[in-house]
Amino acid sequence: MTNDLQDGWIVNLGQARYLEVLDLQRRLVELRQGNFVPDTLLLVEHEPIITLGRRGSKDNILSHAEELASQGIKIQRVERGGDVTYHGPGQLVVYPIVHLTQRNLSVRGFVDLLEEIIIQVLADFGIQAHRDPQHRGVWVEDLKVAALGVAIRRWVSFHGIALNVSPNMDHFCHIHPCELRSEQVTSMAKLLRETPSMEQVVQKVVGRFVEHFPGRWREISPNEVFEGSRIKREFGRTRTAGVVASR
Amino acid sequence: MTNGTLKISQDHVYVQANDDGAQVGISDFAAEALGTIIYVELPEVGDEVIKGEPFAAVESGKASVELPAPISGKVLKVNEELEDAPDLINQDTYGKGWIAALAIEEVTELDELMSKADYDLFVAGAEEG
Repeated sequence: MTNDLQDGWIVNLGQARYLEVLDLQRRLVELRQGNFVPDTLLLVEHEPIITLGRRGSKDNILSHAEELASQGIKIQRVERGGDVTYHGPGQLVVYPIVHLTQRNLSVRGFVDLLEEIIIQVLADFGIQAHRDPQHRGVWVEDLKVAALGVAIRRWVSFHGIALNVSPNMDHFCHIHPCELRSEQVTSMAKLLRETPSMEQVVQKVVGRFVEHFPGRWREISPNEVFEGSRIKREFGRTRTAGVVASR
Repeated sequence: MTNGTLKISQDHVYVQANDDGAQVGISDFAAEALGTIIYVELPEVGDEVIKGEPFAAVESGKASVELPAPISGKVLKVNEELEDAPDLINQDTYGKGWIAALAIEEVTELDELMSKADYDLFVAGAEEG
């Protein structure tokens, strides 16, 4: 078993709606629990949206719902840990659907790895970042560059970590991101003279992720994942079997 | 009030039967592994929980972990003290850190859980990989 590397899927969703991807995550978690799909890494950019974790307080949303609605920003409560966060174009959101017990990972160990991956990616672009033992996420000096919030359902992870590449920083003014003031948030664009493209950042994240989560990772298309996870439970089994057979 | 035998599931959720029904919570090992619990999402009194399905969630370090019910049954009581002091779980999980009390539906479901001694061996084995 130990020599037998697990299969893994990498899915670059590009730009996709938050609720559609939330629905996809929930379906993949269920399929993963039953071993119908392998560990899956989703990478995505969302439309502007504010989400609240289980204990999230609406007090940390500073703007009125009407004002947000007029700007097309929705509010969504979800099952992840953490308080309030913002997603939007220019931010890379990384959702690892990973079976923790199959990888012998504790919840804390898993969260540490996600932070480590982002710290290494930032280092790849020449940004020195760190973690803060009191506050999860990734920091550059005292500014937050990546926000973290995960959920574990029967030992399968979902939700994840959001790295600010070049989002519209004004949007953070609508919230107190996890009890911080909005000016305590930063982005790669603010930290670098030359902003990398989203594609460059995606490649680095995938590279670092694969180092920390060893496996036979391969990229599959968003369509395959969306359609397959919707249609049938055998989807993963056949897909994975096909991969093995083709070797 | 007499405490019944402590039984623990592979999902690190314990059951302890007493006069109030079966108290459920997370194991000492799980509490230690998660670190300081900062939030507990309690079920509601009257909820019907199903063995293996999430009935509550605990949060630590931005990770929200759903807890699969160790047995099926109706929620009789919830530990509202956890709303203000979720870290009672870290301090005294088998006592003040209980999460909910369930009415036991099938006594035989308890037989499928591990004794504390077996559970300790189970987590020791898991740690060695």
